[in-house]
Amino acid sequence: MKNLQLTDEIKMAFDSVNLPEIDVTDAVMDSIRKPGPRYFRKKTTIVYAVLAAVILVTTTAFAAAAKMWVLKGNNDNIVLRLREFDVKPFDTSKDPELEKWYESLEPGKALVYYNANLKKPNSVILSIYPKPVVYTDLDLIREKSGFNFKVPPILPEGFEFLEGELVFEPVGIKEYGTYTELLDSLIEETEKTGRESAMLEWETTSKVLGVNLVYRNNDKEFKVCIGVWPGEDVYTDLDNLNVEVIKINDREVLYTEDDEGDREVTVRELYGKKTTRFYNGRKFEDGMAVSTYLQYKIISRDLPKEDLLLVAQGIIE
Amino acid sequence: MDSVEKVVKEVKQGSVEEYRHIVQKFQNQIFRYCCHMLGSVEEAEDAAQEVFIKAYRKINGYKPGTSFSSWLYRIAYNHCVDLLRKRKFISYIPLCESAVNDSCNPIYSVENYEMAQILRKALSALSPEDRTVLMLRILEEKSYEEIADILGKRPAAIRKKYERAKKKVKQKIDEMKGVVVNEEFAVN
Repeated sequence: MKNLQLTDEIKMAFDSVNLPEIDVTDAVMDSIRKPGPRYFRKKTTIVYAVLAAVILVTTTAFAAAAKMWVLKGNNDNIVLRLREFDVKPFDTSKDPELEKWYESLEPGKALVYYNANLKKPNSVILSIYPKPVVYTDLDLIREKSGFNFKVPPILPEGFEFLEGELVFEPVGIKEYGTYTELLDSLIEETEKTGRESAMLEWETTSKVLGVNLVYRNNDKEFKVCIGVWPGEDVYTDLDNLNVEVIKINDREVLYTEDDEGDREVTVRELYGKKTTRFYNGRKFEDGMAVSTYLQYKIISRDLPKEDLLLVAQGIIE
Repeated sequence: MDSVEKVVKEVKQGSVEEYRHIVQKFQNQIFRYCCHMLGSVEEAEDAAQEVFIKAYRKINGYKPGTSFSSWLYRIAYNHCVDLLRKRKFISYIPLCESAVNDSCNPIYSVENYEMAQILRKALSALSPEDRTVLMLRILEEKSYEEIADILGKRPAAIRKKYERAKKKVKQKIDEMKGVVVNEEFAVN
């Protein structure tokens, strides 16, 4: 795009927003005529939830990535962009208290967590960790999940389905008021106690966010994590990751392996569309419509790359 | 002395009611600026109101012979930045969403729609200062000197900032090309 054309396009983007005419003259004049307390609508603040236990961070706040891996779908559309984050998410192992609480948490409940050190510029983050509920009946897992997914039809030799974990959506996840109340109370607690973090137990709804199928062969294990994801961008630490885009029957899958030997294969397919939400300073509003993807992530430290790809092949076929 | 300066002089001398003309003349400009900065029509309306109240209180600080509009924009810029700072979390501030659904307009081409969407997203990702520079230069057609005056920087720095901001937008556009098509027209 040439420079002048870009200038015109930017002008067009600004102009394309049709704004109403306003008239604040009387309000301003009333206010300046009457000195003293003035009425303004209360400005509230925003908090987003990061479901660190089950969901990778996909917010644009982690953008500005240089490195990137792209996965394309059937129609050559981009279905996944794996990017390097410039702000690393909080390492939960740094707070033994959080791990202790999470350990003792009843399955189906969630842990709401605030840590004063977990922040980005101009931001405070509230983390919610839902604890999965384990089921051993695959039919029941399908029924409860609320979305259609494929159970891997091809398994490496000797492996059998062991159990499935269902991760339920925390209560009030889309309600701004809930966030602020939770955050304010947790911040208040840290201020009172002088500690860096505060947490509380929280309820979940019956809506399933993700399904993790566990397969085992004696002491070896792999998991297939399935969920519906909005948008294409996923952020991770690419520095310690070997990444490969591999084709299976003309379909691209993403293979990653980290320094510690954790291996993953990601398979994505278009699922539908979802309207994003953004905060307008006072409340959440509908934003752009984004594509959602049914994502299968096959994870193991025990299985070699070939076996993981075999499972992926079964899902694709 | 232009008409605005005349009115300002009268306001300074105590004619409060004259301030009405200032508000009427600049309110939609300031509202539009606040809207692009804050990403919300409702919040922009409140902000515009507050900007004019602040401007009234500071009116003695306005130096005759300088651009009143630039002085007002400076107050608006500082006010919007304050509001953005007060938000505990800013991931991305969308450009004001139009009340009119462009895709319903039969003469609006798909290509334009895609491009506008990409551009809006790219502009939304800019910092408040970068966005202000682009907005004032391209939309309000202000000179580098005027923008420098508003942001309290040197014109040469603003020129560089403007070029860099455009470059950032171009980079974002390049990153996003081919993606919005996917977002907007995906079917299941």
